[in-house]
Amino acid sequence: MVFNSQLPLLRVRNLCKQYGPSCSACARLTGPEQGSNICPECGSVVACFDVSFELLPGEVLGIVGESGSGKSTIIRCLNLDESPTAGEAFLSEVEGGKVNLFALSSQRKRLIQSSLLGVVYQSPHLGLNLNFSAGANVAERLLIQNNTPEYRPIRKRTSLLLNKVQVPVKRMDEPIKIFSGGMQQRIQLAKALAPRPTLLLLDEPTSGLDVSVQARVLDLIASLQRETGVSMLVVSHDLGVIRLLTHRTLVMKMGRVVEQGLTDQILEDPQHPYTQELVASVL
Amino acid sequence: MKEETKRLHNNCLLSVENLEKTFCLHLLKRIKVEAVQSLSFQLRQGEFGVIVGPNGAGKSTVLKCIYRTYLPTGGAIKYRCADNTIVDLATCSEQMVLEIRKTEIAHVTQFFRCAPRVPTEEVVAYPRMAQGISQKEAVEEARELLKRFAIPEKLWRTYPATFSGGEQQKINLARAIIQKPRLLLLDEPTASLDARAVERFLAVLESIRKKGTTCLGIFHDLEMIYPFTTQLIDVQGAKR
Repeated sequence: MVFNSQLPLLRVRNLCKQYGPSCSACARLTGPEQGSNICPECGSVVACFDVSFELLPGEVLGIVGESGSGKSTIIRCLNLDESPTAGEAFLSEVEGGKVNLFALSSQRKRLIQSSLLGVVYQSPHLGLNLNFSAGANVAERLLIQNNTPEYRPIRKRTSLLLNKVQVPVKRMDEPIKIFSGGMQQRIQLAKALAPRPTLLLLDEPTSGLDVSVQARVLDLIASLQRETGVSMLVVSHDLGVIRLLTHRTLVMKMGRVVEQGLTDQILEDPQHPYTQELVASVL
Repeated sequence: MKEETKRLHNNCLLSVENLEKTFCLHLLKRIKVEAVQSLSFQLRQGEFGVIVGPNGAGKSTVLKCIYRTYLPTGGAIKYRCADNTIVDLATCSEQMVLEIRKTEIAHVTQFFRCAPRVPTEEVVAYPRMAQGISQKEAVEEARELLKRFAIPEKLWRTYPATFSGGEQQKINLARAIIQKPRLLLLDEPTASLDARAVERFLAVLESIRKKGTTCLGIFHDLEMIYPFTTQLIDVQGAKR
């Protein structure tokens, strides 16, 4: 069986992120049982605490939970945009998964971010430079990766990527801000996929879109995943998105993982009271 | 698959031992629903087990526990993989379950559910593609199966959501059978099929059984399935 030989692509251990001074009581006085993620002693916000998981190559892991449960914080930490308060993350492609990504120099982090990771944020302005053209946004990622950039191959690959995400190539020189929300999300996806990342981080990729556009973007993500076999971490509060895209799911509340399991098990046989409430709330 | 090795009789494929499943409904004052209580049975390679019991006795729950859609609350579900290692499906890792679902066990659910906006032939081909077969080859195999189930060719590129209940059930069966599973779990697979379709289904079932697939199912029409059955498993009996 191939299973045994598969090493995790990503290992996250005890990830914690706190905003504020933080004190020794933060962990004890926050969480789902306490009903808050704000420490009453020091006022720190415990965005996520003691989050651990593994992701195998080709696997899609969902993170579901209410607003403020710490989902996006995990994405920002793993995209190396933010430094966590504590915890470790290992990527198998970085020194065989033996070094903690968070402890690397900012230069190495930037290199990893531009070559191994891809991210799609809920809001296009976080992932795209709105003053650049669609093509320039995608090409920027290719330029960072390329030591001796040449115009033609980069433009060709940019066209290919835009074509793949169903954005008309003839519009590649138009500024991002005149594209529709759905197209902006697809351009973000093209940008994220440009360096052929091993890990794609999707933070509520379809939340602001109307249902028909949402369906097109989700179908595109699902087909690209099948085609390329890229591992994905999908953050969403929408259980439909989680059902469609993911194999396994973490359920978060007040910065803690309250349950994790196979996606169909989470949806059909939820164990934790919060997960049961979440599943029962689906329209 | 070296995750855990447990003892299992030589020609035994599946051994369910003292299986328990209790649902705790937190939103309804933590009511406990005991769906399955200390159920034990064994299936040998090539057997055809039929689970019997009245409505609400926990028949589907047993199948869902084996597929791990439900998390068993007690007992063991020992399964012998193709490479002879034995895995407890009740407790093994989720990644292990996903691997087993991909290559070993298929589940035909009572109600059909699939990714929306995916053409029928791709819905059926996908489990094969997940096994590493090329899309072209998988779609070819899917078309063969759709032909066997008499799904008109003009529907192959349309979405199963637009199909009738009976047609959807045929797609449900086709996408399980295409996997060439070693263990096939069937939850009322013939409930919405007409007499002609049931005949076709039984013919397909017979052919995969001849190739060694072990089946465990729930059937409304016991008389129809009786000639195939090698073992009746009474879930109600286990509760008493």
